[in-house]
Amino acid sequence: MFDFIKIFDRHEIDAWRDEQTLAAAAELNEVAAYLACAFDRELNKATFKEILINPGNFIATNVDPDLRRASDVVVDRIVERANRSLKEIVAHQAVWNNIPREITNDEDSVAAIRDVAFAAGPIAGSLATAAALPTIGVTTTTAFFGLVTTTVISWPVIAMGATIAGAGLATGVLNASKIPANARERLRRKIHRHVISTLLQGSAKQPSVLEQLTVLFANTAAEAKKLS
Amino acid sequence: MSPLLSEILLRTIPEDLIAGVRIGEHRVYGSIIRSVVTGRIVGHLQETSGLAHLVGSLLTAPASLPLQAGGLGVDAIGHAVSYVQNEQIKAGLAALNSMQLAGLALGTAAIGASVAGFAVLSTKLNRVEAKLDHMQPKLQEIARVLRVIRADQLASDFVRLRTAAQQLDEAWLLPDPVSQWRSVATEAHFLANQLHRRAFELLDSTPDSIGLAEPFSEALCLAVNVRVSARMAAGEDTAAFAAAAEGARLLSDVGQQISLAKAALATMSREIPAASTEWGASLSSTAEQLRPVVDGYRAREQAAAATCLTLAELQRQQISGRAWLEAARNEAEEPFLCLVPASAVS
Repeated sequence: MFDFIKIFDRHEIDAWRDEQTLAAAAELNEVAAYLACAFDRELNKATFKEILINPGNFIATNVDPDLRRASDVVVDRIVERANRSLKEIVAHQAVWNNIPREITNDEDSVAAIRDVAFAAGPIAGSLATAAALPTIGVTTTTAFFGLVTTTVISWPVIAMGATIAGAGLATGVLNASKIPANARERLRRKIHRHVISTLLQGSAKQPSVLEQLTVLFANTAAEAKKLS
Repeated sequence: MSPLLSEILLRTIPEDLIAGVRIGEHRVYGSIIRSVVTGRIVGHLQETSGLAHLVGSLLTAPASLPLQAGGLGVDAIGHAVSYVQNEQIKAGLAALNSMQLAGLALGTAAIGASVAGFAVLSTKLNRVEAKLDHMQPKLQEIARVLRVIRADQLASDFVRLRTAAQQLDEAWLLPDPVSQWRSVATEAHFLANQLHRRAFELLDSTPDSIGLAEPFSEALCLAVNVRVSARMAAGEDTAAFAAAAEGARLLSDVGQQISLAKAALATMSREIPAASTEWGASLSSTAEQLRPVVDGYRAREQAAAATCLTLAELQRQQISGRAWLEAARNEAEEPFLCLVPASAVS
């Protein structure tokens, strides 16, 4: 007979999945807003060459390292919190169901999240070079951590190759003070889009950190429900 | 109430169970009270005619003060009812609130087997239909997703359900009611399947369709309740349990597609730029708006599952469904009857 009482336990796990996803979205949004402002300040110090000739490289060298560092910290915190919360639920349900279950304190899952792929990808200053760049695959691995399956966050990639196409233009005599305002504004918008697509709203081929965490929580909830 | 049943059934919920719920040692899921500590069921509740009258009064009273004044919360279409100055209603409300069942009682789920008469069921159905009317601008879209030719075809499900509920009630007045109850169960069976398909297909269309599918899920819940009550009234307890089990599976099937977070992210305005305070505020307020709708889906699932557990307990204690229903229908004062599980007594 279908175990009807398990429906109540499964709802707790569904609620866990949704609350963790919403909390992750709120947190990543705050980080994205903070970083976007920080990168605006960084952009004000940028040179003519960085802005006009090689904006892709500016993102690769001035934006992504900080974006990555900040995201690592947030993802660590989100996953740790989610694990702690799920462990409490499942440990409690294990008592109800008289199931002997070892809940470990293994922290490897957080380490797995840190072990990110940071490869090359399509944010290009030159259309020709961007078109030639390979599309990236989403690398997802799973590791068992107590009950939570963890995923290696797949990061969007920066087009270093774009500098080659742009280099030929670096012969002008303009100096930084004469950089057209709209070029700076274009790069500012590009940086904002990059931050948002990395953290919150990616694409099917390059899911954002939030979209990857959403899948992670959904998969983990499905696994946990099988055990409840 | 038969002498045997009167010895088993309690007209009031034992104080220790109420206290357990109040301090968080017990939780109430539909008709069952469960220990948070052990996970075991410590009590089964059954709604009575007394509760049905109370709910009917609350749902039809003229609006003056919001339901929140009674600690009940306002339903999704914003209906409000007056705080009726009547001691019996106050006592009933207190009992509902103490068991945290007010929301469930005012919705379409049953607490145990449904004993609500046609008047109350009809009022509840009116409110569900009002939600559908409220979605009038989106009805063509709903009809397109559900592949029905005209939007008013959807309304016929509700007319048929109303008729089945009316016939269920009417049969109690007939000299030979069993054949009518059987016919009601058959009709409600079809309607449950139809409404399940409609809710499921709507939810399958987009993550933000949980509001659109809600009236169908509520009507599905009513159809399941009508089917189970008809089988119990007809004395067909095995079929009643099978109907309850199938209903719980249908509602669980619908509930599996519900995710508050996905719905909130899909529903919030695309106009608000991400990486902004406004985006965070919009996500939070969208989630809070959707939360009662999601809670409603979960409550209906839980109530249906709990009814199965209560029917299984009746079988264990060899209590006939018909006798159980009659006891609940005959109780006009107390809102609930309570059955302590056999395992807890022995």
